[in-house]
Amino acid sequence: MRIDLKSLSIGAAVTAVLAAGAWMFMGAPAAGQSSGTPNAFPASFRAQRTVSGRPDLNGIWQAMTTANADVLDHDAYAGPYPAMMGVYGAWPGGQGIVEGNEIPYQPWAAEKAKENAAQRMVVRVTGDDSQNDTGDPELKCYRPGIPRANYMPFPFQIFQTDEQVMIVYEFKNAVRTIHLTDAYPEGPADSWMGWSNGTFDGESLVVDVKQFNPYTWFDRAGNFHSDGLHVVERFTPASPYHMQYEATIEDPKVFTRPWKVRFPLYRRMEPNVQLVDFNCVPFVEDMMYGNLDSE
Amino acid sequence: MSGQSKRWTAVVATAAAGILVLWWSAAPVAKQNGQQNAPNPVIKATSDPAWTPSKTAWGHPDLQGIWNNGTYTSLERSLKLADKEFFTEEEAVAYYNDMAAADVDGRRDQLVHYDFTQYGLDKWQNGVKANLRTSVIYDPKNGRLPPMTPEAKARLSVPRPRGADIRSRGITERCITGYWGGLPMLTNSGGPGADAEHQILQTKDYVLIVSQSSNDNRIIPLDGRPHLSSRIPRWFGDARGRWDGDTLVIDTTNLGHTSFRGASPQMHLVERLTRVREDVLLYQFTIEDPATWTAPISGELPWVTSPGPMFEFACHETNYGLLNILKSQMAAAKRGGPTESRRRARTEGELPVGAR
Repeated sequence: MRIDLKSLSIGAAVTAVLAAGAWMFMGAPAAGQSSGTPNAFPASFRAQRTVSGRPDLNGIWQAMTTANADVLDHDAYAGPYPAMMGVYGAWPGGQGIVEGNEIPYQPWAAEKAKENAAQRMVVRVTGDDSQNDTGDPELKCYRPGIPRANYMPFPFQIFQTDEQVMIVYEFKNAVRTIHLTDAYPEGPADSWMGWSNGTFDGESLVVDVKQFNPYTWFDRAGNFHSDGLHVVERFTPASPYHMQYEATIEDPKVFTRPWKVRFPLYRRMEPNVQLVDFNCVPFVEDMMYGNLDSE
Repeated sequence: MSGQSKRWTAVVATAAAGILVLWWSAAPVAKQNGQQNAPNPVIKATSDPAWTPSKTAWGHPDLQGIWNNGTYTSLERSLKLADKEFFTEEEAVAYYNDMAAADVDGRRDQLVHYDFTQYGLDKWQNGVKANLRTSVIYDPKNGRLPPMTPEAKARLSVPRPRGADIRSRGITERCITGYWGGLPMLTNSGGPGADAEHQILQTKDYVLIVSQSSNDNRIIPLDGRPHLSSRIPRWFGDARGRWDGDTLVIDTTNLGHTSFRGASPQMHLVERLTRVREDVLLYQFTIEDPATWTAPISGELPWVTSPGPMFEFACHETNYGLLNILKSQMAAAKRGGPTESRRRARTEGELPVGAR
């Protein structure tokens, strides 16, 4: 049984490699011809189907952006405590993921984003909600929220059934359920990852996410939202190995208009690739609880 | 009030006192009537010949749903019961009622800051049923953990007192894991009855198990791939699954981060999950750890269906309790007093299932 399975998986891997070769050989030049740019996806792509005929999004995916540092265009920089951390703490520069490279903050909110950035490493553990007033939630190993979870520098795995899609993010083992039926239109309370309902629109999984708490950030640069956040995501297969990800972000309490982020997701292709643990709670305990006795 | 609404109430921790008063009064009534009014109070852990297991669209046995593995059954059999492996139905119901009453009464002399029952957190309020087994463990035949090896005794003889140092606190207290705190999947019967739900989701290539408590999860590939190298310990082990008829067999290694009752990182766990009835999933496990026990350990526990959906469980994000525990431990240390609360000492003395 075991040997059979193993040879099956080897067979599947070989097939995948051959398919990849065929796609690069035939698909890529065709795409180049149609769009004139070598790095554009084919204009139309029909994804492999699930048994029930929907685009099959199952797999391990990862973004290749540097947007977790800053969703806007940003330079590389040394990062915190360079005297100790050297290049270990440095963050790469990169082009942002925000359409138009601008977040349409209301004036007060633009100031608040700057204040957030200045205080992103100020961590106070107060034992009530005020401990969320400063400090990047990522720094404290909190759930990253949506859309940030999708461009953290960690893989995530999609499990798709007819009733729901569950996504397990390696960062903190955060889980979200996207309900595909109308059984659960609303959650019982605001949450870090929000409440997700999904529908398929042609090749795209469209996810409506609401009921966020106000504590997650979009990046380490202090970009933020309120509990009025509403995100509409589109996961659109663009090749056997890529999905286009787009999120429309609105929050009338913080922004003057909706805005969008967009970036590709890449299928992780290593043989036997799997998520491992990034259970970061033990990594932040000294930072969060180490100074209590000095109070 | 639907089960779903009930769970919302429990998770959000907003009281629906009127409804809960009804539940509260239902238990004694059922007891007086010899459970005649209650739906079948004993879990049938054996196959129902009249029931045909359903399959997924791709032909795998369908184990999907939300399952509650809460139980009043202890891991080890009481010495009083000796070689009695099963209760009669009557005895099982009587045991269940006693334990449900103890859930309520046992807290009366304790310093609790709220009443679990008020929030629907007791096990009897969360679908937990009576079990014919007198212990989770059925092998060794006496229903008890086998003798430990001298090596394990030496390893575990080093005292690890809990105090103000965060690393001395339990992993569940620190929100590193949820209530079941490692493998095998046995709920912590020392904790409340809520959050014992586990969702099983299946695709052609994977089985995913996500727990309500802390949203702990296990991703189980079905493609026969080898285990991860021992360089990568996992909080819930490295799981590999295969189908054996209607049974999902999960082989798990790499359990170096957690320890079941003093097990070594070399513990090898094989679990078997079989849907024996529409509403019962039989969970069986065998533990082999020659570095710790002189014999393998096997046990089983039926899980019952539970209403959905699953919710986010952001434990670490709002772990205000830990802050207060550490502060109280520091204050106690300054006073030179005992650095553990009476309540925890009491709970640990009882060695609840799954606790360590």
